[in-house]
Amino acid sequence: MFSKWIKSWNQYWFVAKPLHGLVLFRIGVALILFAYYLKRLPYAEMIFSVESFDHRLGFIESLSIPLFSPAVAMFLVLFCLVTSLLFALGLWTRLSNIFLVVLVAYLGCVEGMYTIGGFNLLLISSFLLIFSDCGKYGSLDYWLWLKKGNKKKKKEIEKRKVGSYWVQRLIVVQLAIVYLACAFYKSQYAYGWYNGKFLRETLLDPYWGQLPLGVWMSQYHWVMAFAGTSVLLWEFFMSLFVLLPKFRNFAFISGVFFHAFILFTFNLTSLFSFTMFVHLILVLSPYDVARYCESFNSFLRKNGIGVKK
Amino acid sequence: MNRAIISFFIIGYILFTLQVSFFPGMGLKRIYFWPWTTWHMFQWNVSTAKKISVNGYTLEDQVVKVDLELLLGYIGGGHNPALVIYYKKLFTPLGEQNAFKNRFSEYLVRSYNKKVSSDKEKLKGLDLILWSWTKEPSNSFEDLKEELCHRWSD
Repeated sequence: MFSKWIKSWNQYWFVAKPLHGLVLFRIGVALILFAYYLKRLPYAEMIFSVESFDHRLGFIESLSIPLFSPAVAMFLVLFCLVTSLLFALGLWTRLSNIFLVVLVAYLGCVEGMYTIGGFNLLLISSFLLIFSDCGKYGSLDYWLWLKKGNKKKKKEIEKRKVGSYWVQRLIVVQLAIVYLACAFYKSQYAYGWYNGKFLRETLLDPYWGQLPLGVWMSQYHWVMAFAGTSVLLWEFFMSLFVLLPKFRNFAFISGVFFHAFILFTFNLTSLFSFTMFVHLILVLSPYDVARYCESFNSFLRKNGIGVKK
Repeated sequence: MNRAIISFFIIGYILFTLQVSFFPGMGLKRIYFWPWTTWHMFQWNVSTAKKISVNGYTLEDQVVKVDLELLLGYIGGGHNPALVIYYKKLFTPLGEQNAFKNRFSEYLVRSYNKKVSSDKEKLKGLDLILWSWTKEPSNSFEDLKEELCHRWSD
């Protein structure tokens, strides 16, 4: 009985699977972080240094985070941009991943981003990627390995296309917990969601809302009631759907629609929606993602732009 | 890595994530993994919200800052991330308190529709005024507000 349980556990977490999804995820996470800090680069002094608003207003002291001069703050943001690019390209992948996580954790703390769910998810996932094989394939590291005279070792090449699955699985479990926690939080104010009141208020809020699509939608009570109820129920079920193989495709498609809706109706930074988009890639079956990638690659090859076999 | 060690990590990770995601008072919709950020968040919720004071104005006094929030929120709508953060820091603790939250959102929706027109050019340079204001704690909030409103009406 016990050995059977161990066997199922090992099969659930430790079977080697294609890495294509994880590679796309790595690139997505790195590019989001790159874009995020590129936007902040001109304001590095105002956000991350001893000259920052937060420091002047006394927020930083209460959190006991060390702060540096504007020049050092600028250097840290630049260094973060370089490491995120290296991580996206997959050059010295694990090392760039470690540096990126340390920098993002520090800069996130200074900026107070630990209060933002999307950012935390990004940080956690990039931390978990340190333990993954995400740089083994689809990276400059892989390309350099091929250049070292491994092009003809077909067996070795096939081996590099698969890797440990537990990190991907754990990120998906994390995603399920996020959806469950969101639904649980909303369910405490369920009535406001069922009648659409909260959604309407948020869509019309001058800070969180006021985007044309949201303002237009908020005119219709039934749309608000329907959308509010759907959000609550969808989040509850999504925590299961992302884990159940039968519902993977549904979870992916509905997730993309849901987060695109948030992107176009809420005045949030696009960080949240894009973070969720890349996380949803991991919900799909790794074999399916590998198949899509291979077909896309062969399509590119046919048109003379892909990587030649 | 050894499977036993990874299994131990996985179980611990899931339990910890569940605990911090559902721990009362931590902001249920948020997830916290890092022990220090969890601790910071705890401090933030418990201490900072109570202690928050800008140039001598306490949490309760900040209810008069609606106009400032309006302007900051407007500039913050995709322009200067530093201001967005500043705005969030200043007003998020207020948002946590329902008594303020309702008053704020109602007032804001009304005043936003009434006051905010379309000319974003008018708001250029406000970030620098605000930043210099934080450099000069001797300037009162009323002075700042006056300067902002003056610029707004130009």
